[in-house]
Amino acid sequence: MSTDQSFLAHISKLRRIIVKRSISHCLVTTCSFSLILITIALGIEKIGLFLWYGYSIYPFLVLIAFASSVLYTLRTKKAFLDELIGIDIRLDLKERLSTAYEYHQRGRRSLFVDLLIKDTTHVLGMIKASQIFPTQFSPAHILVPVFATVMIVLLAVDFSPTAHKQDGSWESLTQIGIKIERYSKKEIQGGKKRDKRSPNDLYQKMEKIAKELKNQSTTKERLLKSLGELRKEAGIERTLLAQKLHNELSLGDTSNTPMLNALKKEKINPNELNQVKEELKGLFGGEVPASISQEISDLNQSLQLEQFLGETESQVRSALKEEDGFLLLDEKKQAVKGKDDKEMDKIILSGQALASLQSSRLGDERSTSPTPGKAKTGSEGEEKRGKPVNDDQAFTAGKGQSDGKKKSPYALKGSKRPALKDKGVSGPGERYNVHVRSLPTIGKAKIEEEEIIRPYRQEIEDVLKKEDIPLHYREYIKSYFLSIGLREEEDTNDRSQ
Amino acid sequence: MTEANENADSIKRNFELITNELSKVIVGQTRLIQQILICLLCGGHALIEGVPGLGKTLIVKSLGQVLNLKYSRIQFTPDLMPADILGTNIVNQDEAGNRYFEFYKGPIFGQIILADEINRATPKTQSALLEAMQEEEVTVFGTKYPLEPPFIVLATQNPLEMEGTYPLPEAQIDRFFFKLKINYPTPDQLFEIIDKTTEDYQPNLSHTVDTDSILQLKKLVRKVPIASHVKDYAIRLVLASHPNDKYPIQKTQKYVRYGASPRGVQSLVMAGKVTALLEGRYNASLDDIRTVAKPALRHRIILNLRGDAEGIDVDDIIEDILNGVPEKVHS
Repeated sequence: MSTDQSFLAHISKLRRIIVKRSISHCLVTTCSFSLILITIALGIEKIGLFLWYGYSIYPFLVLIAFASSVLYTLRTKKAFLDELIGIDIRLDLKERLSTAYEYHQRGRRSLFVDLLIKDTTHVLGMIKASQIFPTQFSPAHILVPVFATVMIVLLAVDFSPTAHKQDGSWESLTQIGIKIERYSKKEIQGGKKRDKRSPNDLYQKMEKIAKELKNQSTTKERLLKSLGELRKEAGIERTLLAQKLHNELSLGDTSNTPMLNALKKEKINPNELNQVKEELKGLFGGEVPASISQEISDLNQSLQLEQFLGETESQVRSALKEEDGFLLLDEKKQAVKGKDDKEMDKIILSGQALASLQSSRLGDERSTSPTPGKAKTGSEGEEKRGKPVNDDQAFTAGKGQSDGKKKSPYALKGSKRPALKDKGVSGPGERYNVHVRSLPTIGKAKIEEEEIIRPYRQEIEDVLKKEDIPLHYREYIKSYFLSIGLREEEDTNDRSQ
Repeated sequence: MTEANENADSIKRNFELITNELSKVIVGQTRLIQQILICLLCGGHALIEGVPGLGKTLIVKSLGQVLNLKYSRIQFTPDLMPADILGTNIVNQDEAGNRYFEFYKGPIFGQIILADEINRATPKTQSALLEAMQEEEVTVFGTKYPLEPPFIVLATQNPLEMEGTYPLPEAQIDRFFFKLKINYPTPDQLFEIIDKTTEDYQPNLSHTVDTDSILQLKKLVRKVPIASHVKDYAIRLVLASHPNDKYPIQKTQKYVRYGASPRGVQSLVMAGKVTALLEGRYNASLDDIRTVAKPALRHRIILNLRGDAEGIDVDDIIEDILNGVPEKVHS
């Protein structure tokens, strides 16, 4: 083997060593970066800043670390000549290696170059591979055990904040959230397929709750409250649907049938609903009218939803069972709210509420297929005047422009009850759609308020017009009555004492 | 064994022979001898600085004998004229009675010239010598007279007595390849000096190298390989001697008025190559450059007023430069 070949063989060997070293460096860096990223991710999860769903994030982090370390290695990779200079300096070769390589590569031959290459080959032959690149501990090597320790500590110790630590139930709550999300998505998609209508607000609310549970951006109180409210809304809708169905059926030949009694009940169960359906089939000779069939289906769906929400609520409660104090408090609140709910149910069961529901349904239908001669929604009026109308604005009361947002009944300022929609009173000319956002407790009054107030008002006006009392006596009389009143009040106080 | 190999080895061998031969009369000063040889092989001249009595003249004279070179000594005085150095035309008469001018060669027409106390002569006389050093030829009355190679001037100057002297201008100092310093001998060396000079000791110096060999070796020096990063290091060293360099050294900024000229880099590289050969290697290394940095740069770095006033030694500045400039700048 000639000197040149021998020299090149040594150079190739050096190249291989350098490549191996680079790969090893890259792997160590990958390891360090992975540990750093995983530790950070784990730390974030542990302190509750963010919850990584499952373990899929970790392979992704390792991939990022690998890519980064490859980039880092390529970026910090020295030129081969620089590596040779480094070897020269480290092994005190007096620049033999780098000079010989440089002159060999450039083909610059002189009297001394051959001698130099021979000398360098001889020197390289005497050097062991381990001497060329002695093992050194780089910062990357030190980082590996440090971050591995930190990671083990993080895995072993729970650093989550008190709020999360106390209940320890976010995992199950998250599962519940996923369940809710699935249910709502399924129903929304099913609803769209069936009648192409916009998804029910209830399902959207359910999705919102599921999202909050996923992100853990809600509190337990809020969660239970939201679920409770949803369940109540579902109940109201179910009641309204049952009432509507009852009314429609009572208008026809089906009066006084047992199924009507079932619909009259506060809460119809699915079996009873099936019986009603069967009875109707019998009644209509096997073919139930499509509208009634749809209403039964809606009622069934509503029942299922109510049932699902009830189950979910109880699951949440059992997940939070550990916190007795919290549940006790919550139960008290529920008890207080129970009264209001009953009152509300009564209101809803009244004919006025039913009328509202019917009118709102009619309004919805009209908005898609306007029928001549019937009242139209505000948005249709706007359309008539040639103005572009946003569908969402149809929910706005009166003529004025709204902010364009749909508002949940509970979101309305001062509203304590669910909103009841009213199509309003149609009049000549422009027609308006008025929504009554909330109603006071009406009780069982059947006479119009105006009818009672009007005669009183008239009487008061007549009295005021007579002016029987002289003007200068007014103050005197006032003082007199006031003194009587005070005296009476004092007397009452004395007696009570 | 190839021709190059023989020549490369012969440099080391000859250097050892010369050193051994000189050691008969010179005690110590091996480094100085090596540096003078480097100057000779590079075709440069040296300015030797040292207090009187350290053996400057003896070294040069002995070196002339060992190298078999024609030795001349010029003692510079204020009344020394250029013609006293270069020579002059004198009127001569042949046998027929015809008169003619004949050039009478001055002491410059030697091979190894000792210009003793060069700073005592007037600038006019100094410049006559420096022209000969640069051009390696002398012009008298329009006629050029080449100097016999190898030609080396070893000028000395006394750093203590400055009265009545004409310090060499910076431009002329720059033409010296090296500025060498003779250090005071150690007690052991003094012991040896006493033995050799006060007893009946008459050494006979023999010729170890002939002129042709020296000339052949001079040609070889330029063929010594030097890596790019070593050249780069030499450049960075020279640049670092400038106060306005992009990698400034603290002392340079503070005490230096002018840094080394490009002749400084040439000196560093050439001297580095010879150093490598003298050590039996075939390439110039970073260490070789570092070894020759002080003699090659010390007379090329001009101190400012502050440096002069504070008595700063240029060698300290070079030491700082050597410590401050990295061996390799990664691209």
